[in-house]
Amino acid sequence: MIGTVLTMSAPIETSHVGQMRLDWAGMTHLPSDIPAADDGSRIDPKAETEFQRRARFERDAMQYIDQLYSGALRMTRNPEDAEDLVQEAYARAYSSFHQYKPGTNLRAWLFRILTNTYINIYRKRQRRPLEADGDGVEDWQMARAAEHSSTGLQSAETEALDYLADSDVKNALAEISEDFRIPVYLADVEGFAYKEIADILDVPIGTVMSRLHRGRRSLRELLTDYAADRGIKGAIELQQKKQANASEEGQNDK
Amino acid sequence: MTNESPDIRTESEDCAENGGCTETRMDSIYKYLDGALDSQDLDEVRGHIEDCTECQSEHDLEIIIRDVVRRSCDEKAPQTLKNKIMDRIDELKTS
Repeated sequence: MIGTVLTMSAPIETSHVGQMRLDWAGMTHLPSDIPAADDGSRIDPKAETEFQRRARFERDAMQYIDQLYSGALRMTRNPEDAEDLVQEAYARAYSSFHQYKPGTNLRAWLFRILTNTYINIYRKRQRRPLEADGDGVEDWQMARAAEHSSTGLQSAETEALDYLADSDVKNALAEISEDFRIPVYLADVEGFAYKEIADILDVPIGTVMSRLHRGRRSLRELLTDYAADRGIKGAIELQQKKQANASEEGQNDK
Repeated sequence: MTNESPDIRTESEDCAENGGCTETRMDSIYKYLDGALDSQDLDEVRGHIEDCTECQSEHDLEIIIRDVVRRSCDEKAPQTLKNKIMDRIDELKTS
């Protein structure tokens, strides 16, 4: 069955994120595609031996294992399933590796296989409903997000966001329904462009954009809730520290 | 992007005076940060973010959120996983 499930039509073409990526946004973003110096565009997959293919796969595809694992964690939301998913996805990728066009976006190609594998195997297996009905972004959340933006966030709250524990952030992400969570992950963590996400998820680009919008909105809402919960204590401590420093400086001035 | 592109050229100045940042504005900020605006819209949106305190804080908050999310999702695959995968591939080859 391996290899038959994947109907990877056209390989995802190398695409550079069109115009400029803004420096600050781009700073920590991975470029969508980095053709390696020896990007293998001269390699003819049909002519290579099994041994060569394995070596090429290990060199080119395995370098993305951490990213695929992180993506799989967002999908399955538990480490055991994530490991299984990555393993299965790589096995399928190897079986189809002769179809991958060297020099095109391998990372996007692998993410597409990961997503397909997840949908074909894991989602079917998980009979229990993972999220509440609907798209997971409740109207009240949208309303509250809008409220936040109209009043502006309290600075302590914004500050607290920066100090949120990784586990809080992951929990917040996990709370969003997967239709929104996965595009947000692909865009904001993996730095894929809309078109690439559309290819990976096999949905129209307009759908990607609207899911990203709603997903980010509800993520923001959840994170600010966490930050508000955690932030009060932190903000008070920060305030006390500042006051202490100020009075200390005052003492020194005397 | 032809996709129901919001008419962001008609409004300007501080969003707070116009009843707060709209979802349309928010959409522009997302696209701006995504590097998905064409050069004309890019200049307009950048100009607006510079002028509008509210959009500026939305923009800054969005950057913080993305940084925090990226930082939190920076997991490493277990060491054993790569070996398991290569073993599995070797089984595939021989079968």
